[in-house]
Amino acid sequence: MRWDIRWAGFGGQGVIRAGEILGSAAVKQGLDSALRPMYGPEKTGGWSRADVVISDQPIIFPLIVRPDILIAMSQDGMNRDGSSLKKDGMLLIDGELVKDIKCYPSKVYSVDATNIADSLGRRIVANIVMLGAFVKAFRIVNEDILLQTIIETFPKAAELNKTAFKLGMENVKEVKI
Amino acid sequence: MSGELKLLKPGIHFMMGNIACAEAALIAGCEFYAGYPITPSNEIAEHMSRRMPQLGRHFIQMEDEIASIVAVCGASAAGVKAMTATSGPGFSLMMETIGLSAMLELPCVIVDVQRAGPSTGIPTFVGQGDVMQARWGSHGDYELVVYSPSTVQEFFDLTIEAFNTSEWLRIPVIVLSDEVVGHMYGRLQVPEYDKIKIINRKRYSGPREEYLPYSSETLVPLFVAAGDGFRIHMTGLTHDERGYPSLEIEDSHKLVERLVMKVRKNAKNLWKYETLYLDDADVVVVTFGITARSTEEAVRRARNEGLKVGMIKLLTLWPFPEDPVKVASQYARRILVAEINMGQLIHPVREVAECPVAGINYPVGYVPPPEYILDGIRAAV
Repeated sequence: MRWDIRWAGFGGQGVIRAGEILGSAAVKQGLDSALRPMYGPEKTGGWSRADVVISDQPIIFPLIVRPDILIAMSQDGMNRDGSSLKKDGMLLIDGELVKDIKCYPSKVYSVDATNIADSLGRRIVANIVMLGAFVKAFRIVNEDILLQTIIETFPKAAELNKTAFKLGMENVKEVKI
Repeated sequence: MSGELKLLKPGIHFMMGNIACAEAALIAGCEFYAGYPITPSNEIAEHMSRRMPQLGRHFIQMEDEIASIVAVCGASAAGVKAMTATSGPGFSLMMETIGLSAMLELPCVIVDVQRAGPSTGIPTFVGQGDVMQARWGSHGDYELVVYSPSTVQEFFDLTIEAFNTSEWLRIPVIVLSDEVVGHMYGRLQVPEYDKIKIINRKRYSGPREEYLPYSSETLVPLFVAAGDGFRIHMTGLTHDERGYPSLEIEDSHKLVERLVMKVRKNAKNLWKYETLYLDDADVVVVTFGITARSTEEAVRRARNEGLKVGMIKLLTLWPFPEDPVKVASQYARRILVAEINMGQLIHPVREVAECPVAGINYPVGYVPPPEYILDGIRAAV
């Protein structure tokens, strides 16, 4: 089984870092993974995208043409990448930042990742909230291994990230469009 | 902590191609890095700037790419393994000194993470337009070796191989990567260190007065480092076995023949390639780098459609692996060459192929999707 996951947002949200953590957790779990980061020339505030492929077979073509799952952390990301979503693909959004859904997913999950991160005093952990929501909504990777990978990535902020991850898991909900 | 423990740990990692390349260079024994920043190779320099001092080795950011490659040659003359990394525009600036490195027989590794060109092109987007430049970019008669990775693992493995080959033959070796393989993260397995083969240049240990720095007794002369106490003259001028400039026909012939033959005579040992479904293939796709990933997907899909298609992925681009392509062409009806340029690798393929050859070309900037290659295959069978 191969999952093509496209993570869209803007530079500074940690979209690519989230993709790196997700791919790293998948590899730890014995799966194969590839991450293709892309961003515009502006970096912070510009467009940013992480294409993550996770597969139980060795990945031959590591890039994504039409994702199975789109994670939109900004309206701009949705506008840019919404139309690429595969027919019957699934969507995860930051419900506060993405109001206008520009695709026809079979399922939509939402979490107010940025608001939750703000409530923890660090907007920078919005991507970790999103990872919690991701694993709750879609599974694909093991929750414990994913959390472990997050902690190893940010050893000095382990508690904060653990909380962000749990809140993402608890607050994600399926929404009807 | 011993130096060895500070190297990337054996085992499984999930890592960016450029960083895997840098870590491989550290394991291969790179002691000196000089470079000038350029996208999409920057992560190599950035990582080396942090890692080299940790290991007590040397990193220097030079004023431009010309100075970088010259510094690399100087470090190599002093006896250490040295490298630089760049992309198209910087690679162009390095060409003269790559020839000097071949002439002075100073081993070094140059990584070119190809981006879309020509000229400044699109710095953050992919290209494969430096295939011919890597081989023929410097003037005069010389040979070098060019490797091209298509995965993070291959980028790691071929970087170590590049150091080994450069040390063995005392030549510049180029790792011709591309923006996608450089920026992509993938699974990387680092072997136990004692399973990694490391080659160091052979050094001279005889009497000082008998030493000939460019002896033609063997294809690869024995090395002494600047600072070892020998009197050595190094010049880009055609030189005799002592290293002094010479206008004599026999000196010129001996030198240039040796520079070329040390690669040509070892070509078969330098060819690295992988084949897929060649046994009954009517059509064979020859490719390399990131395009090989797209091609393999296309070839597997074509097989599912019942099309008799195979592929050859070249890991060594130069010296061009003639035999596998020639043999495949004796059985196939057609050879296709897939590359992200308007037709470069197709030329050496045509030179050896005994069946018609056509290109599947994709203008620079983007990776051809498998469907694009598959259309090319369908049209050819």
